[in-house]
Amino acid sequence: MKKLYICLLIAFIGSSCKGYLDIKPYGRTIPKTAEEFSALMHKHLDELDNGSSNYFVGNAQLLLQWDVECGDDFEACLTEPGGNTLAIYTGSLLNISSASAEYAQLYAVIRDCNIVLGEMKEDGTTLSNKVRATAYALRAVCYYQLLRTYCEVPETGKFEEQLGVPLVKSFDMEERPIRSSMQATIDLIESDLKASINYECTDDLYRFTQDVCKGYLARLYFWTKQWDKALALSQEMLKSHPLIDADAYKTMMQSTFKISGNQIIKAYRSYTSSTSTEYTAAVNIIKFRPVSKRFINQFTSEERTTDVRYSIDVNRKRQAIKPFFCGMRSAEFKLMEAECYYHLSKPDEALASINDLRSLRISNYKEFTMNTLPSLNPDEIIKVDAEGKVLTPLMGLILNERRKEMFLEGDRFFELKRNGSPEFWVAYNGRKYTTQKFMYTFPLPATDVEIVPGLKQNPGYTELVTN
Amino acid sequence: MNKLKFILFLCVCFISISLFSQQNTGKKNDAMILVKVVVVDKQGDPLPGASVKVSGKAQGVISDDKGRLSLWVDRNSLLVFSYIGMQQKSIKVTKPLSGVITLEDNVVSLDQVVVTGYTRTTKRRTTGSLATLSEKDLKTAPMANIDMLLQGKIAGVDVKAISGRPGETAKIRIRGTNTITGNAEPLWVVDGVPLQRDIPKISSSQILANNFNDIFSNGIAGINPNDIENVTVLKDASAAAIYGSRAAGGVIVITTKRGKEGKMNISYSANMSIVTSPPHNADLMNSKEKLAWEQELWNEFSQSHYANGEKYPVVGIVGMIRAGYGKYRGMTGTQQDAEIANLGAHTTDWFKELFQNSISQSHYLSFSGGSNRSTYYVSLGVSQNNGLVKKTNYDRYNMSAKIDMKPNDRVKLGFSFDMSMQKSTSPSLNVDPFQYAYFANPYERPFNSDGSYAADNTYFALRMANGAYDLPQPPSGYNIFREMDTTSSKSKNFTSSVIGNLDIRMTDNLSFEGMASYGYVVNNSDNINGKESNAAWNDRPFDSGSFTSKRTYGSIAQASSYNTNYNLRGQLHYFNTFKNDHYISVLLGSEIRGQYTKSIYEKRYGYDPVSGNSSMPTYPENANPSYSDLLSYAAIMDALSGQSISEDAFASFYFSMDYVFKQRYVASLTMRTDGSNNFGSKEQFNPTGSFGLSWNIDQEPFMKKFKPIISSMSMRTAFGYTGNINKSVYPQLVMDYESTFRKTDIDYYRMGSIRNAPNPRLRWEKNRDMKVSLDIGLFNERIHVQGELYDRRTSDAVTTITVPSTTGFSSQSYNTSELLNQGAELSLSAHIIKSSNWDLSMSANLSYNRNKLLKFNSPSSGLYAGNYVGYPLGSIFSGKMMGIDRKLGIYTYQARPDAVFSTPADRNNADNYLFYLGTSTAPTNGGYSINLSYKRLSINMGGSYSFGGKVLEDVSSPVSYSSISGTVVEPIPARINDLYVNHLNVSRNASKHWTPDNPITNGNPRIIDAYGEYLGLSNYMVSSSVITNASMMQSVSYFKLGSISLGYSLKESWIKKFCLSSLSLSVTMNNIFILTNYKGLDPETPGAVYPMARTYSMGISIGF
Repeated sequence: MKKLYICLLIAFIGSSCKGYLDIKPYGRTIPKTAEEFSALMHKHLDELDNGSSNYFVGNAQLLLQWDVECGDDFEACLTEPGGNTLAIYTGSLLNISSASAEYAQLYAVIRDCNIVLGEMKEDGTTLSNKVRATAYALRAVCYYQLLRTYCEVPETGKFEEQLGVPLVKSFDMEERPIRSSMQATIDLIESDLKASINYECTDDLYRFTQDVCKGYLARLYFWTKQWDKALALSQEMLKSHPLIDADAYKTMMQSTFKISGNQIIKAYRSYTSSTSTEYTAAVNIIKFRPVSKRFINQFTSEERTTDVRYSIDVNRKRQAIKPFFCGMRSAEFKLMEAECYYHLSKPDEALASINDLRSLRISNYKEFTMNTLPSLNPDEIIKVDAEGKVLTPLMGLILNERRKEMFLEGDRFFELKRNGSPEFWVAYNGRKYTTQKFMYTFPLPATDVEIVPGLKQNPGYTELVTN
Repeated sequence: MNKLKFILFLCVCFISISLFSQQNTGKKNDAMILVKVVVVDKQGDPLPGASVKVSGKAQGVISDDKGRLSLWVDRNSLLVFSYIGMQQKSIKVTKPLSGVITLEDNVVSLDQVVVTGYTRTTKRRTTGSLATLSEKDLKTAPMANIDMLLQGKIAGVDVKAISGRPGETAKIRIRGTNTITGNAEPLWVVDGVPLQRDIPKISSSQILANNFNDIFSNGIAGINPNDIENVTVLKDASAAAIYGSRAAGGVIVITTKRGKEGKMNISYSANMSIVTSPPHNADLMNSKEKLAWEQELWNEFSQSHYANGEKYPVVGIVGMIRAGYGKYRGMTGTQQDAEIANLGAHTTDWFKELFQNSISQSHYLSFSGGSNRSTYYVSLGVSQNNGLVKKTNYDRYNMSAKIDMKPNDRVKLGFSFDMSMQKSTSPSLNVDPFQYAYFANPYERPFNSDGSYAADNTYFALRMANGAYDLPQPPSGYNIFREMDTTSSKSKNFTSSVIGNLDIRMTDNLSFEGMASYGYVVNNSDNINGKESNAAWNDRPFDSGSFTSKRTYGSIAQASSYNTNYNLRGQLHYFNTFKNDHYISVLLGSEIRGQYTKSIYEKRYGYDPVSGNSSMPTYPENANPSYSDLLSYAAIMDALSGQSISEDAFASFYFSMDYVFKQRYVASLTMRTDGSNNFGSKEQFNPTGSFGLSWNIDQEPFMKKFKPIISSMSMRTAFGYTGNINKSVYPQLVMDYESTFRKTDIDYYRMGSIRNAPNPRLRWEKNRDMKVSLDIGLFNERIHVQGELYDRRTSDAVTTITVPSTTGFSSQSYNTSELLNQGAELSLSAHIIKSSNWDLSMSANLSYNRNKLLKFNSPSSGLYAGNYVGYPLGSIFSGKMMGIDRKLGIYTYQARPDAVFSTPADRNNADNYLFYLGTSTAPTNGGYSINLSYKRLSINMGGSYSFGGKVLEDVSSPVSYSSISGTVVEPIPARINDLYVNHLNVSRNASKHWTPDNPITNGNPRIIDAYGEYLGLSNYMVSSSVITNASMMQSVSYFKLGSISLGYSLKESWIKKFCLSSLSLSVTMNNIFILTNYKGLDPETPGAVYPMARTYSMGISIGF
């Protein structure tokens, strides 16, 4: 009998302890419902909206990096003292911490997407569909950015041999993935985007709607030189988001924070004080490094008065004044259309696309014909096209148009990379800094290479110096 | 204050009533007999002031100056004769007593009672390592808090001040640090209740780090040292295992005073202290020297470039004048010289300006007494500490009341009620005042001749003077005294606790002991940044990043927190002696404890201190706010207020058994398991335990013949486990909600993030502890020596390891590391002279702790925060300096024997020069005390020492070449080579340096302008700061005389006239001198921190 009492007592103590110790902490949860998981996505969507630490769509600081520091649209040697904190050239960014920051941050977003996709049990509800669609899209966009920055230029027919990035599809702290083939990376991005498109999410709150996913799919096909697929999707995008005329264009481009015109996705839709400080800092510092003469010369003297883009891009002191635009807008698809036509051996259609675009930018525009095409600009450092062929005047025109249209939108560095990754140098403080071919592909984080057996570093990054 | 007076008044009423009630005791009748005796010592000398008490009654008298005493007592009552330093003598009187009563000298009582918080036992019956300090040992520093009073008094307990700020908590390590990322502080237990008075941390984007005063966040400072009866430190697992998972850092058990049977005892003590500058000073340049040095640098680095119209550096006020910067534009050479001469005419000693001599005081009043059925103890304490730094002070008010009752022979009841109120005030500075005092130029002045605040022209001027862009200073410039006058940070803490104890003797050998406690803590803090202050200028969210706005607005940040905590304990205690030889004591119990804390905070801009209201600024009129601006305005508003809540609960079961055989052999066993609410943990219950053996060798028959020499001898050994819970990591995937929301114009959405990589295999950190100790008492305990060796291995210590970026985390917490603490402790106490007039005793302790990281996966390649396998925590790796190279003028460093040099890059590679240089945690620590008394006069001296600690001097100048952005032409090897640090004040020896014309190698190395000429020095020598930091390394070994006090107690016969039972006076000096090689202010608190002040105190203590 006594034993029974003791047993009962122990059972009582045991059970009451469990209840006693089961305190739900405040402001903290083990997520289970779609509503709870949506908080993870809102966190990243908020980063996009306010332009903070956002590598998947970009922000002003990232545009400074790609356009002002890495590209050739700005003149490093003329930097005024206030711009001393700007990197001189791509090579300055290749130290361990800055080159791998983007890599780590993108994988942190991928991790949250994986948690949503893997752990969220709720299914079929409107909210769960939207959250899943966002997670797929966001994951695809992150892998797309990784592909562009950390993988070499895709070479048609060699996707299986070329290296992609490590693919992580589920949340697992123990997994130590090595690099996949480029094909596998491309396939994952494609299937994720398609999965997201299938949810038919059109709720602008989630930013990565069906249209945005299609736009990214077009970008993926274009980057990987799948011209026919890219062409079809570009045209679809242009249908849903048509180009607009010069005045509307000017209004659109000068609307810094509000999404307008044919902008499909953009950062800074609701910035906060901390990001506005960063934005203002970027606006301030860009003034200290003038726009390069080579870029300005892309505009003929006549175009400098007639082309709406010239007036919004630079002022007379050669300072860039175009508001930072980080996102996606229709003109990109027009340019893609032109280039796809060109590579699909349809030069007339290609020229027509370019004329279309130019007519909306230049007042009293006189269309180019195959015979009146301008000759190639000898100052242009891109000498071959994406297929490795020597530039033709038409291809030169397309690239030139792209350079002007996409100025300060984080495009130029990847254009250089895509079109032959040319080597070039800049002068600074009496020294010559050369952007070498390997520098177009950023290094994987050194620690990852060190602790993951079999993980291959990109070529050119052979020695690790720790100080 | 009024409340306090009222309470005092009440107490005085209470005393008078009780005094009155005692007056009818001296009646004489048949049942009473006369006792008339002379109390003498062994030599036959009379003992004036010896007391006799009637046991169980509030009756007693004190002998006169001839040792005589007489009183009437009940027949058959028990008389207890006592005298300080003598053994008590009890005599049962059946007939009138007369003659001589001889009292024997007191031998140090062998069977010292020790309180572990769960049980009372005697030292001879324990196997654990514990040390006890009595009330007397805690009298060394009248104004200090309890933690600092422990400094240097117990072997193996390393107490180091973090700063000299009044009320600041010290850092305590008992037998080394045995966790890497967890909390290594010991557990404090007051009257059996573990302290849990945490106040939650506040975080918000608008609340700055210095906006809240968290000085009272751990609650130790609220204990009044005067209330303490004794302190027991439990050092090893055998002693501390009963505290389970919180005992890994050791346990400090405080027992407070309770009432004693007898007539009411009133005692009052007061103390007055003068706080003065610390004993050491920093050797800085005066105005003339600094100006001459700046001129020398101008001549060397700037003059020719300036003359040629090239880029030139501007350093110091001389640079600014010569270059015609700002208001010096257009001066002629003679005007410049005159300006410089004018500046040189005056030197400001910023330390003197900032430090003040202040007066602090404390008062303590207590009443105690009682009958054999109930006793009481009531105390009141006030302590007002004014800091060394102007406008810093700390006040404490305590009240404590305790009642113990014995309603019958089987039941004992006890109640304690404690209240304490603490207040701390200091300016809220965004520039550290000590850093400012170090670096502010001596020619700057605190005030203009008209008494207004003088702007500091140099402190923030380096960037602008050298052509870089900077946020402007407030229109009136920076002045540290304006900051002190216009900012304030006040914190008020009110703690109350109730403890109830119940002790029921169920049989003669079995008792139930229960304890319940409830505590309530309120903490309020106000932080005000006045409108004119620089702190307010730098905190203008509506004008951030604006270079043009001159708008100023102050702010107030307020927080109010409370903590409720409870502890419930019930235990059965069985003890018995069998057949004379076997003694057994078994304890079985369980307890629960928990705390709930909540903070509410808010911050208001545009605060008006006169009306207490605020006027929140908006965007300027012409700003034309967009929707985004409104959102960011709302975001600022959102972050201005909020709350923070945390809750803990623990449930524990424990068992302990002591077995003693023939008073010789002791075995003890302790087991405990703790469950906590640590979120999501599956391993909620963590068993810990220990086993110990002790051998009282002196009790052996064969030791009998050594008894005259060896009076006691015990050997102890114990083995045990304790645990440590690391609350910073979770085993499961836990999402934390952000404090902000994602907003759209119609709704807002919660945002969440996964802050820590989950680790399902996370466990408790375990300490395996082993020790062996030997205690020897010689010559009737006149000399006591204790030696101890211990070995403590921490396994499963939580550290972070690097995980590949593909996991989405950079690091993850794992139970991966192993840590070893090995050490030896030696304590010695000797009662050297003991005669009727003279008495001299000394004690000293020394401990050595070897800390070593046995297993550690570095989260990054290279050195990680001083953690390296095979070396102690906090180890310092750097270069070995070989002196200045005559040709290059820079420090050269010894190459590693395994270094290979084939390219210039190898010569610059830090890995080739890296050596282990020492540890920042001093391995050898100890303390000493000497007490000498002659008749009624006594002198006590005591102090502490610490050897083997190193520090990379972190008094880093707020300016350096990197303050000016630009492309570095010549890398700067070490801070000492940097030209730009000379913009602010430097130490006196800076001017003696290497130059190409005067290549001396016995001074400082060459000065280099990072933006000047390319010298290519990095082709010859390493320039990584990891190596070159070696030039900043300093030894922080010290030997400190912590206190000297002189006491005199007046003759009882004199004071009797004033109805006093005792009166003593004392004079104490604290922080008197330090022997050290350290160059800064105080080796105990290296760097630019609030130093320990030197204090002179006078005290009086009266007994009624």
